[in-house]
Amino acid sequence: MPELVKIWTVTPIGVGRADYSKSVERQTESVTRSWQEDYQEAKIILDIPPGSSVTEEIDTGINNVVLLYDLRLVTEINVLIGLEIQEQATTGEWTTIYKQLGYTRIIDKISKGLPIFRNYRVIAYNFSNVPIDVVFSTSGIKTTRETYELELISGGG
Amino acid sequence: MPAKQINFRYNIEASKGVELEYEITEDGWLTEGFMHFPDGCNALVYARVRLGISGTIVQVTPIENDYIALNDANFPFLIDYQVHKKDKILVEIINYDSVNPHQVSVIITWASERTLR
Repeated sequence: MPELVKIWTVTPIGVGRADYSKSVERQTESVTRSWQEDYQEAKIILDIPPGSSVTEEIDTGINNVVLLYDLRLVTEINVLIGLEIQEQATTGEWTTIYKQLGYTRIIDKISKGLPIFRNYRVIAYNFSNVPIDVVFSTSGIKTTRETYELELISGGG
Repeated sequence: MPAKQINFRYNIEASKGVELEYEITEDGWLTEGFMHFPDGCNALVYARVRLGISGTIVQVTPIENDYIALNDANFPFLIDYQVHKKDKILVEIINYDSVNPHQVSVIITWASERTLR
């Protein structure tokens, strides 16, 4: 019979399982949450000076994605106005994603939707020689980029 | 042809290392060896086999000076060493699992004559 001649202590490097114990492994899988709701936003912008513009920043919340389908910018007198929409990049910089001009009103339908992944801002231009008030309104849908962990447990072993 | 299996089964405690020794009782050949690592070892139990032949130590499990560490696996290996009475088989088993003991088997085959496969 073999003899035990030496026994010593070692520094462990991990944790196994008891011999032939049931193998229970846990894993998680990211699943996109299916959620969306109507999105509306309206801003009244008062007293835009002649030949100038006013910027309004709109917060869409953390991890949200907004798709804008209708854009409106309306004023009360027949003057040339402009609408510019800028989206904030992850670096914090603003990028123009929409620009339009119109007399009295700008009404646009975007069939594919204008996607906003972070905050956006509306710039209303007044190209006339009198101060004007405008109303900006938009509608679309709002969804999320949040995911949740689906836990799968497999038994065996 | 006379042959026998020498069994070095050992239930090793967590964070322990052991060396088992067997003294050869008859001249002959060590032909092959076999290791078994139960499921749960998770490659944390290391084992190797060395021979003490005429005062010289040689390792017969791969790789020289290294250990085999497997999980839920058998590891057969060829030895093909001539041995004489009083030579020794040294089996080293080290359990790096911090919690669980593991029962590892090492079986060495001795034969009176050389057998080549």
